[in-house]
Amino acid sequence: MKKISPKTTIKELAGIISVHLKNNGLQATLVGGAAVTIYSNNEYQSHDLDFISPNDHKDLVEAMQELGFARQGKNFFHSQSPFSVEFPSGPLAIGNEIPVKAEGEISTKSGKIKILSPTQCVMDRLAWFFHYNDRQCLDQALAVAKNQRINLSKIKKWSEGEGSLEKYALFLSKLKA
Amino acid sequence: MYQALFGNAVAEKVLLYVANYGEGYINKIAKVYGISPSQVQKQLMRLEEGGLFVSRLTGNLRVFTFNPRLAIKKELLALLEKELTLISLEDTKKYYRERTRPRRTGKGL
Repeated sequence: MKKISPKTTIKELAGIISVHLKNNGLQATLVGGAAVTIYSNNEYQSHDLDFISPNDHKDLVEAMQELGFARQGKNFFHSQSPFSVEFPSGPLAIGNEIPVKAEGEISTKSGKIKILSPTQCVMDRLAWFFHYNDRQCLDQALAVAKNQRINLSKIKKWSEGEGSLEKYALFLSKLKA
Repeated sequence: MYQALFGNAVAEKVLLYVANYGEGYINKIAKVYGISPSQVQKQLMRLEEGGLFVSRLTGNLRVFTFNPRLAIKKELLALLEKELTLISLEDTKKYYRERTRPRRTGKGL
């Protein structure tokens, strides 16, 4: 397994953690800002990794400690990494759509990461824009959409379900600008 | 940028703020732009009286949003949205990109 160092990127760190958890019989899906960093090719830089896991938190804590992470409240920190790790409560949800099955998988030097698909990642960011007017998340959704192949008709249908077709139209106009 | 269209610079800022964040209240808008709360209050009241904004009390705060019954709401928002795209990246980050989504208590920035 690759060693964690200050130079370990967020993608590589996600790979190291994912593989280690899997080797311990644990599942975890990468969501949130770290997924945006990966899909936007670092156009947006997140400083924390959020994994949704169906497993017992106690087992996750033990596995993370084996990797050299120390727990501080709900966050995990590694002495050699600038990134923090958290396991927010599940199940995986995107806006009002609960539960959601993550459709993404990417390869790293350490192994595979289970992650939201680019389309799901855009929807996840747009949910914060739709429901909290968070413009940071609109920018992040656009950064992913401009760097990845996404399914716009799926996002439009989901936006309709969220009651946010007007805001979807704004997203689309900015994407095409 | 187009303050002549909106009457004055504070009115323009108030409109851009509410268009960007969806809602706003006196002290927050004043703090973001570094202008006096009384100036912001005057414009918010004017825009409410003119039917562009509506307000509601949330705790002790009076929160202003665009009037959903405003006939030209869609067109006005499109105009303001266009103006937001013309603002420099530096000012966009400074005034229009504050995090508004939730963040767990105790979680660092």
